[in-house]
Amino acid sequence: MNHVGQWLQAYYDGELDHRTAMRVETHLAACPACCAELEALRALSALLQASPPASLTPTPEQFAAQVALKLPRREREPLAERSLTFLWRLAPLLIVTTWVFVQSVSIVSTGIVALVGLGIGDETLAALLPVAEAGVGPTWPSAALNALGLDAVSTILKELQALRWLAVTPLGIVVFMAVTALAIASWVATWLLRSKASNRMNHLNADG
Amino acid sequence: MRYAQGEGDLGPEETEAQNLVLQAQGGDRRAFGELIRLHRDGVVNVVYRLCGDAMLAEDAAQECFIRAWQNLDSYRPRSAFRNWLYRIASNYALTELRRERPTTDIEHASLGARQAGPEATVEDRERASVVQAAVLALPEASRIALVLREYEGLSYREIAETLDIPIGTVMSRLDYARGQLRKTLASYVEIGA
Repeated sequence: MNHVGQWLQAYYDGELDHRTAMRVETHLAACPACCAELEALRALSALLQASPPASLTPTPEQFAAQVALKLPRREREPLAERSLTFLWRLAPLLIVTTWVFVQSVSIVSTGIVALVGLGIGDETLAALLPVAEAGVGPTWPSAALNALGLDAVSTILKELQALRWLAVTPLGIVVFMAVTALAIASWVATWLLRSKASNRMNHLNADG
Repeated sequence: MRYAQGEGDLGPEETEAQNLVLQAQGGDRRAFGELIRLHRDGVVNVVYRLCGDAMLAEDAAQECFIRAWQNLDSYRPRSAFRNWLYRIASNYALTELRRERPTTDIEHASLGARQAGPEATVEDRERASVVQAAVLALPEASRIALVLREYEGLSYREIAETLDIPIGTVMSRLDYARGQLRKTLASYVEIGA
């Protein structure tokens, strides 16, 4: 018979999953030796529990008041630091939003080019395409933003015309995706390092 | 062998504690006072069981809460606040024990007997002394695991988080502690059974 001695402690402590616990119970029903072991565990626990706890003179409220008198002042994180922390937490959202926007411009522009090339689009559609000779980028993003009432964003985009190649050329798209991936990876790495450092400080502080 | 997954959600007491911790982290002393009131007995008990000295336990508990207050910003709610406190308490208790002049088992045992109270019989007091001495004779690592399991009812996962050790190590330390105590307290265990 295979005894369950190695599982008895975990069974007694209620730490086994249901299936394993059932197996142990089935075994215990037929094994006096393991039953005796389990009873010994129970007897030991009962003996330990019978030992009285420390009796304290002050009530919990008095104790809390005594401690409160000794608590030093807590200093809040400075506003500048809190602002930086907030911006750092917002960074991945900004990166992803920018990436989505640029990808959208690229996809829609490619779609417009394909339609015009197939002769499906009319003159209005063709007017939305970039005019390479004049060095002007796609006009449809600015038109869309103006239509949505985001004139300020449209103005900023016009100022960034020099970067239009990121959205419309294959090399630009690859570069932009690589930069975005690098930015996200850097943020994740920083977050992991900060979490580890925070955990280490947590343990060091708990270790006194 | 698979173990029970353990509680994934925090109980209502721990949820309340987490809310109080958030307020205390913002500087709310009243909230921290409530945390002290909620966890005082547990912290004192852990220290007392680890070092067998009731007076030290009370002083140590105060010091633990002061340290917790000072380092509250470093607490992360991934584990129960209670477990974080117990870690501070157990480390402080053992540090103080190592710093103190070594005392005999008899001195520690007599402290355990005095805690039994006037209504306890002579036999009860003697038993309490012997049990306390046996627990104090355990190696520190096993003693902490035993105290957190037997007296505070922490799960294996909670003990592992508190002590920052694997669950397997928790089990082996518990197994060792219980095995040693069964040998030392053999006559009392048989009488109890």
